[in-house]
This record gives sequence, structure tokens and C-alpha cells, in this order.
Amino acid sequence: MAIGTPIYTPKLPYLFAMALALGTLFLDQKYDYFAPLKDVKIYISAETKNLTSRLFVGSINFFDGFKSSQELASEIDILKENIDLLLTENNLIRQNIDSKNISFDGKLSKIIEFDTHQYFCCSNHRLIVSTDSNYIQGYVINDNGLIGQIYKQIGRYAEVILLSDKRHNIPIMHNQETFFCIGKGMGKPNKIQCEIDNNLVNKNLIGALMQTSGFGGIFDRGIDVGYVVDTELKSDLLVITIELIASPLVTDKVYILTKNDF
Amino acid sequence: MTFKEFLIIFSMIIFGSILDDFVSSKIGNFYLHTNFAYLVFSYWVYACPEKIGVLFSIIFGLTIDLISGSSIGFHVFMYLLFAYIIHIYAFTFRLFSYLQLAVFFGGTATFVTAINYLIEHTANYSYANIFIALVFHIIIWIPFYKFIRFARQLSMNG
Repeated sequence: MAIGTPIYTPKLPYLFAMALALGTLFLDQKYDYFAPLKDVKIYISAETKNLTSRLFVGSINFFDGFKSSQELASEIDILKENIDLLLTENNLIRQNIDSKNISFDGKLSKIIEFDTHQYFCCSNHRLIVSTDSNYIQGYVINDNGLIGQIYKQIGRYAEVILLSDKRHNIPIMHNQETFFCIGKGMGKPNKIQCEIDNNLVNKNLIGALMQTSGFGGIFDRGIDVGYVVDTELKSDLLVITIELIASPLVTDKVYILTKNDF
Repeated sequence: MTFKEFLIIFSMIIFGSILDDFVSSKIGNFYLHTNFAYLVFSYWVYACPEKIGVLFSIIFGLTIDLISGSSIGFHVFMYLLFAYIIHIYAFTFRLFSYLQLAVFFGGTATFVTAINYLIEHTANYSYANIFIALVFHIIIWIPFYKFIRFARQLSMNG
């Protein structure tokens, strides 16, 4: 018996299609040629999620219309209590953000989409937030502190590139302004790295607080970024690994800020 | 392929992709990289080689490229490559044991994942992760195969 059973598999169409796919891959990798297509996907995905949540809330409100006045009165009491709790929470958030050296005048926004699969496994650390205007020069914080900056505006949504994204760079400095460097995303959750001349530093840096230097034109100066957790000597360069203070996973509420103009 | 069959296969591949996202978000810290979307696709090529050819490989690959946020063309190429290989050996595979099939399909799923990391996420590439993914894909393949075959019989005959 023959091991291989004859089957008709046309070689040429496969080869042609594979060559086409490789060409497409090259164009996308090298020139980001299909960015508009990806933007459309992001927009459709965000719109769908937004619409679904609105429909869900709308249906709940519809059924709420049939409640008795007694039920409504008790619900009003619960809502009042919730408002008080939210006010307290809001004050706590402001105090927390103030302690990270961020002058708080942010525009509240909500995370519409966050691909946690990419966040944990891969180098692209992005999320989509809803916006009401153009914040292309804005940066993004949450209750814990600085998480990223606005990368792209797509209609009513903005793509946020997180500090840990492989393509993200942020000018940072030691909190005592002893040295400055460019913090580069490592593509790993909550970690960035920067390189400095080893001769500039002559003490143990582990645990040192790193802040934004404000030299990139996006972030205000002096915002807490993270703490040094590891250092490695590579010839004359000292590679510093920084653990970021703020995780994007803690909440879906974020604030968009723009650099203060003088 | 009828429209109904297309919808069934398409929705199963989307389900596989959602499962990948779900698993990653739940146990992402352990760095387990699953590729259920590919396992579903390869199952269908294996089960019905006459139904999935060049065109459908491109459509499914492009869908996964868009959903997963990877570079456009990557999954298209990989799906075409393995659709072609599975096509050539479609009936030879019938002589294989479950273990051999699990090694082949689990291995190719891991290969796709590994190449994806090499091209797009070099910083996150790790032999340990790839090995864990290989073992996981081989172990999961038999129950996964049984489940999809059951779903296929149910949907196609129902």
C-alpha cells in the first residue's frame, strides 16, 4: 500500500498567495502600510463595545420605568449614598495623584478596549479610550499615576501607548536630578529601561525614584514614573530597569492631561 | 463550501481567538501562549481538506491578523503554508495515531507562535515559554480535537 494517497493540491496558487502574504507582511512591518486598516478595526471594535454597553444600560433603564414609587424612593436613597461614596473616592484619588506630583486638571475618560493578551505576552502595549476632543499631545494617568501618552486620535477614540510599550520612549531623570536618561519600554508589563554613562553614577541606585524630566514636550516635569529595581553594567553603560508605579490594569477610569503652558 | 459551513468554521476560529485572549488575560502572568485559533483552523483543513483551499486560508488568516493585532500578512502566510502541508498529506494523516497527530498539530501551533514572537515581539521570546506552549498544545490537542469533531458533527448534521 502506498504511504501517500494521491490528492490534487495545486502548487502554484499556494505559492503565489504565500508570496503575496510575505510581501504584505514586509510592507506592514517596514512601512506600517496598513495602519488605516488597523485604525478602522480599532474604531469598529470600540464603537461596537460602546454601542453594546449603551444598549445594555438602555434596556436596564427601560425595565426600571415599571418600578413602583416606593422602590424608586429607596433607590434614590441608595443613589445618594453612592454619590457620597464617589465624592470620598474622588477626593482620595486626587490626594493620591497629588502625591505622585501630578497637578490634577485631567479630563476623565474611560478605557473602551485594552488587549490584555498583548499586554502580557507581547510588545504592543496599547489601549483605547473615549475622548470628546483632540488630545494628540496629551498624556494619560490613572489612580496610581502615569501610564502612557496619546498615540493616535481615531474619531471619538484615542489610542494610548503605554510606557511599557516597546516603541515608547520617555525622558526621565533621577528625583535628585543627578542624571537624565531616556526610558524605553521593554515590551514587558510595568517595566522600562534606560541607559546611562556608568561614570555619572557612583552609588547604589536600587530603590531610587525616577521622574519625568519634561524634555520630550509631552509630559510635565517631576511626575513620578517608577523605582529602580535592577542595574546591569554593559561596558561603560549602566542599564537601569525601572518598575513603573502605575499599572494600567487597576481601573478602567483614566484622566487625560496636557502639558502645562507657561 | 456552503455559506452555512463557512459561517460555522469562521465562528469557530473567532471563538478560538477569543479563547486565546481569555486564557492569556486569566493566566497571562504564567506566560502560557496558546494558539487555539490555529488549532481550530488546522483541524478543519485536516477534517475537510476539500473545503479549505487558498481563498479560505487567506480569509481566515486575515481575520486572525486583524483580531489579534499582529502584522497584516503574518497569519495569512502561516495559514497558507500549513494548509498546503496538511493538504499534501491529508490522507496520510489518517494512518497516524492520535499521539503522532497531537505532536504534529501541537508542534505546528507552537511553531506559528514562536515565529510570531521572533518577528514581532523579540523582547518577549523565550525558549522556556515556547517549550511550555509546545507541551500544552500537544496535551490539549486530543480533547480539543474530540470537542471540535463533536461540534462539527452536531452543526453539520443538525
